[in-house]
Amino acid sequence: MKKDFVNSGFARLYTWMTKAKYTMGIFFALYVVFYLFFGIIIKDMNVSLNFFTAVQMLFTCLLIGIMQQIFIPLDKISLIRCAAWIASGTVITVLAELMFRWFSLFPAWCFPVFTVFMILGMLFMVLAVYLELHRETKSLNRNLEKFQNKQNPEII
Amino acid sequence: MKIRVEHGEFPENEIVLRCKELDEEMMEVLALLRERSAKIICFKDGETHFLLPGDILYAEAVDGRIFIYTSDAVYETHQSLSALLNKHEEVGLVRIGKAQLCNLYHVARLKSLPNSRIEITLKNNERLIASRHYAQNLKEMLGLLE
Repeated sequence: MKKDFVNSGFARLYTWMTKAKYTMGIFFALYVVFYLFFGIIIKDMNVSLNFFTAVQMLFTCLLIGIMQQIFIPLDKISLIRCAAWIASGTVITVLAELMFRWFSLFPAWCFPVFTVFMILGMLFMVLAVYLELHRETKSLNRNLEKFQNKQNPEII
Repeated sequence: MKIRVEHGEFPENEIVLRCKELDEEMMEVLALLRERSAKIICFKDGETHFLLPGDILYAEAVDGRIFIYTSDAVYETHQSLSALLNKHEEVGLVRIGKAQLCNLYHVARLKSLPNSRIEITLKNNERLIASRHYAQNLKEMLGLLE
């Protein structure tokens, strides 16, 4: 029974979805920080985040994280896939903003500025992936040099 | 066991083993030397050639035929890629694709690519790509994966 649950479709879907938690967490923090940041720069508004808005933002961020798992899992990274993830993340952000009307009481510029910041956030995450590739290239060449020096048949 | 390497103007490379008796250690050294000097029979322009395994830059299967690339020529062999790899892995051969082997001692640099592939630039500037599956194999051989 226990073994059946571990191998079940639900268990696999659940573990796959938990891979999105890292992205979800980062984006949720960004959403909250930027949302509250508007309260500081807009002098005549008292901005606070209510429970339902926070839940809406959390699920929106979970969707962005799931899209990342679909488009750019670690073993399938490419420029086209990264662009597809950024595009889907942007669409999700804009649709969520329009659907939940997070900025209905804010000045008009807050909505596009918030969206641009989220796109920048995704670009920075893609940049991190490419930095990781660069780091891995360095490790590969360092280990190649070690391999060639250690076991070179001409030296033996 | 003492190892001494003499550099000088010798007519050809020579290895002399001195021992009281052929013990296990010496037999291992002899086996290694024999393995290294084992040549691969291959063909080019209707002629038969004997190739040192260490001279292979890379080998690939094309339409069921196996081609061996060295720094100055391309040869065909009747051995399969798996047979080449099994017999001559110690010269640095590693599988980088379903139909390609590469000699790590002739690699100038490696580059990690998106999609978990690795670009291999040989010392003669030829470029090969290790596929996603075999890139893991390559990383393992280089000690990057446990």
